[in-house]
Amino acid sequence: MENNKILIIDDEEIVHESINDALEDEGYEVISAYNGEEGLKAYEVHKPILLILDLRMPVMNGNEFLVKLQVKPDAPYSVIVLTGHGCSEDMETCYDLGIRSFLQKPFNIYELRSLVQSCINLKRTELKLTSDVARREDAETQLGEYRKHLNKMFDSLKIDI
Amino acid sequence: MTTDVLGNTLSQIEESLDLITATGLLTREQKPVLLKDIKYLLLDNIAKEIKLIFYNPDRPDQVFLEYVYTSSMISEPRNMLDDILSSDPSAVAFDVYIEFTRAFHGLDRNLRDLLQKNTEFEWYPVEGS
Repeated sequence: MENNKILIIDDEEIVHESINDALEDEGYEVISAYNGEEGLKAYEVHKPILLILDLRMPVMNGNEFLVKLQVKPDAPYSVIVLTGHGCSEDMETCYDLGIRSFLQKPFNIYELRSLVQSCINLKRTELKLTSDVARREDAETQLGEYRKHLNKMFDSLKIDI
Repeated sequence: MTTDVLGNTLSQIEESLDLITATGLLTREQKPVLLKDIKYLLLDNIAKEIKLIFYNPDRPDQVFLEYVYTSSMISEPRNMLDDILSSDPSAVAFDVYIEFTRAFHGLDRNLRDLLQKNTEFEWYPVEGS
């Protein structure tokens, strides 16, 4: 079964409510956290495929969360950052920390659904490609071993002849 | 605009609300509620501009002073408000005027209502809004 879990990390209940309303009908399992610290714990427990993150939060803000999370290009999830006033400096920092995209507040549910769908599709495709490449590399390694084995057999046959 | 500018703006708004509370125009209970709502409206890009308008409650067209806040700018001109308040605090009242962002206007009605209801304000439409 495909991972359809989405973790929302935002200190405003209204954001959780509106995202829940927009995404649960689409078949996603939505999990809530209210600051970066809760977000890290929820990530470890649920392993979502998508994180929707606010930057301004108490206890641990969005940037601190991203630093702790250490998003890698081959991570099994994507991150969307919610922002009311994203400036280029903040955006650059967030992209450097590995996020996939921004969503400007206030957002309508169609924008949200479309961005969520495309981020998840892209991540699934990336994961599938990574797994295909890994399988292919395994197969090539095995093939190399067989080839070596066959060459050895062929060499021994030649000696016998 | 950086988030630091916005952070500084919000800190200054808090200081201003402390001063307004000291005049008695705002109670100690009302201040954190108003501050929370202003922060929410600016941070979530719902309000383009927030104005605190100080006026004569007997003659609402007589405006003494306007404090204007946006996400990157504060305008708090000094005038005789302190003198008026020191002589008769009941001679001044204030209301909060919100100009919404284009992004907020672009939302559907239900979502706009939901976001507005997330504040403690009592909302009244203003002509031209």
